[in-house]
Amino acid sequence: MSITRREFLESAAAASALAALSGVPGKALAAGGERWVKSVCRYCGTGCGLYIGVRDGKVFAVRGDKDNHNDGYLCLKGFLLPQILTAPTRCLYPMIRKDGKLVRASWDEAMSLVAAKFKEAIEKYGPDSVAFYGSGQGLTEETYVANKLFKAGIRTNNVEGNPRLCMASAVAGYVTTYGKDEPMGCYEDIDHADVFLLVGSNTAEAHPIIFQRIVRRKEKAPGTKVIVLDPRRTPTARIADLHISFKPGTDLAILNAMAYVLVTEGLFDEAFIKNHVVFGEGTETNKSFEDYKAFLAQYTPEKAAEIAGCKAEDIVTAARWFGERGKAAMSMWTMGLNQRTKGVWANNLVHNLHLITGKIGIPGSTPFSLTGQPNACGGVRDGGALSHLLPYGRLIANDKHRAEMEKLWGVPEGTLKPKPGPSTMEMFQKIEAGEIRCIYIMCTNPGQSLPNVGRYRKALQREDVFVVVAEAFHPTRTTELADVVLPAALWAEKEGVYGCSERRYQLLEQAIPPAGESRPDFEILCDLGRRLGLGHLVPFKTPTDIWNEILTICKGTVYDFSGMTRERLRQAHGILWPVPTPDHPGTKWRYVKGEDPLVPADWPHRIKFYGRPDNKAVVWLRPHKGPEEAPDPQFPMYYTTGRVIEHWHTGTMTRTCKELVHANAEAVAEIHPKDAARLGVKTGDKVRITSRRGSEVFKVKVTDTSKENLVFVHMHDDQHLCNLMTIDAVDPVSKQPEFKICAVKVEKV
Amino acid sequence: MRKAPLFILLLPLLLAAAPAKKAMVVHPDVDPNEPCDVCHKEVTPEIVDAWYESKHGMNNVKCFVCHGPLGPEFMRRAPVNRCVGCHGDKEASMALPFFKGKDCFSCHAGHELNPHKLVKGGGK
Amino acid sequence: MVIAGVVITTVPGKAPFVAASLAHQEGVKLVGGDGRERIAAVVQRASGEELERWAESLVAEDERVLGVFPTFVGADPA
Repeated sequence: MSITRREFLESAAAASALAALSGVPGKALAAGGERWVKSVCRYCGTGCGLYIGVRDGKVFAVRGDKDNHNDGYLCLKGFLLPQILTAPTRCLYPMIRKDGKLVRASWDEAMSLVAAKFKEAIEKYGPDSVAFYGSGQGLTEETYVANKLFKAGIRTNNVEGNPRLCMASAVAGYVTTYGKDEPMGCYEDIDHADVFLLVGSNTAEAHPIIFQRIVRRKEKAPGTKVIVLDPRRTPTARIADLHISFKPGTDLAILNAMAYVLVTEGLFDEAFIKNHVVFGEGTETNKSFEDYKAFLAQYTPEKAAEIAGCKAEDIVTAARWFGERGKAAMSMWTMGLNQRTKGVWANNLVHNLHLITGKIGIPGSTPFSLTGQPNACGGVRDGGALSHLLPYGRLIANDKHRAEMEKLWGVPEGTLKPKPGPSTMEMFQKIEAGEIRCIYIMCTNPGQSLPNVGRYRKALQREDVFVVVAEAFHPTRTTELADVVLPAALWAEKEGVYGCSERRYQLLEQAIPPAGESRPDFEILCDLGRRLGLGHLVPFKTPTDIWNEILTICKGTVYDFSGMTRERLRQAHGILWPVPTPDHPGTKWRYVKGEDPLVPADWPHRIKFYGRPDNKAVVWLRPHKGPEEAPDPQFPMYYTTGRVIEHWHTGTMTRTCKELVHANAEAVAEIHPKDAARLGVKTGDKVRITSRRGSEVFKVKVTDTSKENLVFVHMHDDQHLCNLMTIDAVDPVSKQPEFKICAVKVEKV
Repeated sequence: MRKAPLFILLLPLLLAAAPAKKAMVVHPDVDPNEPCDVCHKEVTPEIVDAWYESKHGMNNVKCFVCHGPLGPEFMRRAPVNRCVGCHGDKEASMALPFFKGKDCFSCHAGHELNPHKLVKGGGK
Repeated sequence: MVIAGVVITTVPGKAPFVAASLAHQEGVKLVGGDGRERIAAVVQRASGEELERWAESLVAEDERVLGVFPTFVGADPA
């Protein structure tokens, strides 16, 4: 029996097609000697999970973690992380300033000097003559050690951190509205939202993976609406169904006007307000819904449009889209609202929109603050490492809280000082005044990032101020001012926990040993503690030791994540707190019955705002108030600062990546074409930007993404400091500075 | 006349789909501080548009993510191990027999990024 | 006459539906699949060009089809 050629060809074709189907691929194979270590991105508060690839003791690549919230994706910065570890600017050995120059020293010499200087200051001038300035990039364990060492050991509340510069207003917004800090929703809300309100956030460049999730939501559900409120037409506005540009600082009027529309068009939830909301003014919850309605009468869309320089009908549209019955509405904001002298009020007004419509605690409906740094939440906010806080929702000024912490920390009653310490700007002003003589700066770059930075650079250079900087890079604009520089291990070189925007705590495993002579920050702090005779307070050998102590501190608080054992964190791809027991899966929706373990099963409503004594949230009556320093005839233009996608913060890490060193690395003055014409400049020309505080020369970039009479400069350039001009006026409640708005004059050079 | 076997006719198609050999492709010497699109909007506008309309363009996966930096490490065609940094879930399937000798760009158009289809607006 | 073995990839979950629509097409014989996103088939067309046209139109016109990958192509001149 023979087979025809055709039959042969057919069976060959079939066989090959079937063969191509088979062979189910297994897990990604590791080619000889590769190890993939589970970790988290070093950069923004999105907190993308990733794996660090190690080969021959070196980190050669990263790969997004498909099992984490970012679904395997990384933005261009995270993608290029490996290069920061081997950057030529890595700080590899301790340095001491001798005869005006920083020279190499041994660890013992450096730490002896630091301890001696601190001891001397404490003995001569008291514990409040020393201070700690930490960071939302420090691991939770490191920040915890510093907080305990300074507050309970040295006994000073001079403990601050750079989240004061970025998140304090969001914190105070949540606390004044709900009684406790931190968002109640999670990233998954993005997948359910019908309307997005992005206000004061350039999400596309500052939180790219969150932006990508919004884009995916829009693709999946084409009716999804995106409202963007931003004076500039940033890349975020690309997906906007409505972009409202307005005069800087007038967003409070717009937000109040949106509330006016919601109320007058009946788009409010009467039952929700009755059960879950009280109204207040100033600091008293002594108003009613009727008072609120009367208050809103001054914020008609027409009046707000006049204040803000936008269209009344756009405000109405935004409100109607937000308030439409049956539609889930999610707000997101970041520095545009927080870095303002009315930042807390701006935050309150966003919460108001969700509270009067009841669009909260339902998948897709939530007011979600985007955090800037990878561990501002976990380490500094939740960990209580600010001058008025104690760990996990406790307050310095609260006698009961202090007594609780003294017991937990095993220190005598009365150890903790009852008076809160100075906030960041006040702290640096105390340095300027000679009241603080020693400062330990960890993992941050105030010599570049403080507002009105010229003033505080001068303060740090005082002869009688001893500046210690623990940092992974040198030189930075802060290490150059230091008396002692201590080399810190960087990211993949140490182990610890980061907590990102959505209350997700995740473990960064150590992938490689610390470079050069660098040491993990917790080790450096414990060393200092021992040398100050306080070793008994910080007896930690490993980060896990610290974590286990932290678990005992958070137990019973509204943060309670005592169920997040180290082993669970090692296995998981992040867990959302509260997690009160080891078998609790984590909490996506806080305050919601059935989701949040802290809401009792017999609670009669779907929501319990248990952070406040009456279990209700507050709608605060906040009037519009403009910025501290608006333009005037002498300084006629608005000045604002911000970010670009290629770089992060002060650029000490991103500028070490080959692909990024030339990509948008130089800070330029982004000017609207009409202003450029008036000033007689074109792209590439130079201008001098001057405020009451300082001056700097920048190249020009003419772009219609800017707004008329507004000049934008990014913060990432160490050679062109945007903060020479910014104002150090602060929000009276949060003490967060107004980086976003001040007045300048711009002149062609 | 004997018809040429089809696989020979299809050969150019298959070869065109195969990854380029590792020849040293050098990007012209330009000012590294200038963003790529300043030149490329004029020199290769269709590529810039294709990228901008693609998922990469929407999400700011900028040129250097795939091409690397200008200079000796510039890559005209990104290797699979560049793509899997974000698209790690695709790596395992690349081991299947019918991807032998192929890389991501055998099917995904370089800047549009859609397999086979060149659809405006991002496609599937 | 050209005979090709092909793998047709589809949007995950759609393979059975695409297979159903191809089942009665002239010159297409379904030989297997993974039941989710891949179909194995043998396709016969008069010429190479016609085979390519068939593959292109399938990808262009059926939103569920992501790709058509030849695994083998042979010619039977008879």
